[in-house]
Amino acid sequence: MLADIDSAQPELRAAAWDRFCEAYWQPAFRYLTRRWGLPTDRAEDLTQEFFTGLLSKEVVERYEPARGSFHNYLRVCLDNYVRSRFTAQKNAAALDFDVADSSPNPEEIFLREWQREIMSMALQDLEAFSGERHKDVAFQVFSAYDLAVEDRPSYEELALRFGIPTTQVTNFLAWSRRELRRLALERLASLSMTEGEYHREARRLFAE
Amino acid sequence: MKPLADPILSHLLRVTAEPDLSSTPYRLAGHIGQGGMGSIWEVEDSRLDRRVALKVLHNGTAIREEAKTAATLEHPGIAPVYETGLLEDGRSYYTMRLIRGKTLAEAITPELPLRERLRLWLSVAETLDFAHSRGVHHRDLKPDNILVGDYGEVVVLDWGIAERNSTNHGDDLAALARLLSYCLPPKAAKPLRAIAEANYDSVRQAIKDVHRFQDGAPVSTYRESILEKLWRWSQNNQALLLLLFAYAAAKLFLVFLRWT
Repeated sequence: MLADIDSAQPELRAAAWDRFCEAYWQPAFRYLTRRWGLPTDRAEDLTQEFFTGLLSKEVVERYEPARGSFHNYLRVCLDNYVRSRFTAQKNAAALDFDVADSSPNPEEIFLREWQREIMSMALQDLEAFSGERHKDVAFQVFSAYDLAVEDRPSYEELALRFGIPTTQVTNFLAWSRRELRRLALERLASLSMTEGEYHREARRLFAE
Repeated sequence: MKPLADPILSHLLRVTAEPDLSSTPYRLAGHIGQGGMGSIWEVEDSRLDRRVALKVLHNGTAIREEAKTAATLEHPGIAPVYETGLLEDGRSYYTMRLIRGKTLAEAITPELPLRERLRLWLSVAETLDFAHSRGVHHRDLKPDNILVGDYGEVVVLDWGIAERNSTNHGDDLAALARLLSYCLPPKAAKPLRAIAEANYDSVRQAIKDVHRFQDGAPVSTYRESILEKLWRWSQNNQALLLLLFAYAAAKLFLVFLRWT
């Protein structure tokens, strides 16, 4: 649980912080480029500054689960940080406030990036888990079908390609999706402060 | 690792949100919508060859409680629960009657007559009154949680955050009053507006007042002026008024004949 972030034990605290940075660095970075229209190098610098500043200010500890989801709290902190950072440097002109104001719902943008990151991490976990369970073919079938960028192959085509019955393609896909969901939820549990927050975030992740 | 492209992300979120029905007698037929506490799917029950609604949530305790609450309330205004179970992916589910129709929010159109608006509200109020009599407090009553079926049936959905063994129905009463305001047309009669704004002790009292209004009787929460009393009396006694008018007209005619 992310509650370890203010643990008295340094190793627990460090591990929780690593998990936190791993899960939120990319969403924060992509949010800065999408919502604030920042160039990549500037967004990277600002994301890094934000996480460093966040750690020292212990903003995470100030989060109150009763007031909303953690990822949304973090987004508000990020927006505030960007505004204060540019105002302090008196170079607000460098920041495209028009882009920020005309962008679609910021909450939606950050939610999307957060979903993208959790699912990306869960996919990496699924690949590793499939290897451990000697289910590499299942992962390959899943990749060929569910991660197809363009036209998805039919189950029959996949059966021919991998030399397995069509029913096995169905089973492999069902297994992979089930495990992907479980692994995404595991990631989510490790990033949640409380059990209640975990359930709420799970519903937001899968839009349930 | 390259960030997941939007179409792939959407696909992954969709397929991982779909209930894994492989260990059940159900086959997925479509997505119905999101409830307050989970997602609802249309599924085919292969045993009885019929379509039912399946509600699923990863929080098993919550959904079992919701199913139990709905199952204890046997009423035409509440979708009956068929069964509960556990999916292969660890989520819990329950199935219930599939009702095709639209939400109350969609059913209330500007041209809908007052009589029909009041019928819809009264159906909801009767259902809630029944739930309260069984100690159940819905706590999330709103137009989107009320379904008006294709045959006019009105069903109160989403008992996910309902409270059992409760005697405090204040939230429901306030929500029901808001719902009446929502159902009423912009130029509704003052007594109906008064009912929607009143603080009743029970749903039954509000229902009685709406029935009184429909019967042309005074409602308990609105004090009428003399003119309004006369108007209501005249509306309730149109035949008598017509006779009196005919009698007066005949009398006048006779007086006129005598005078000429």
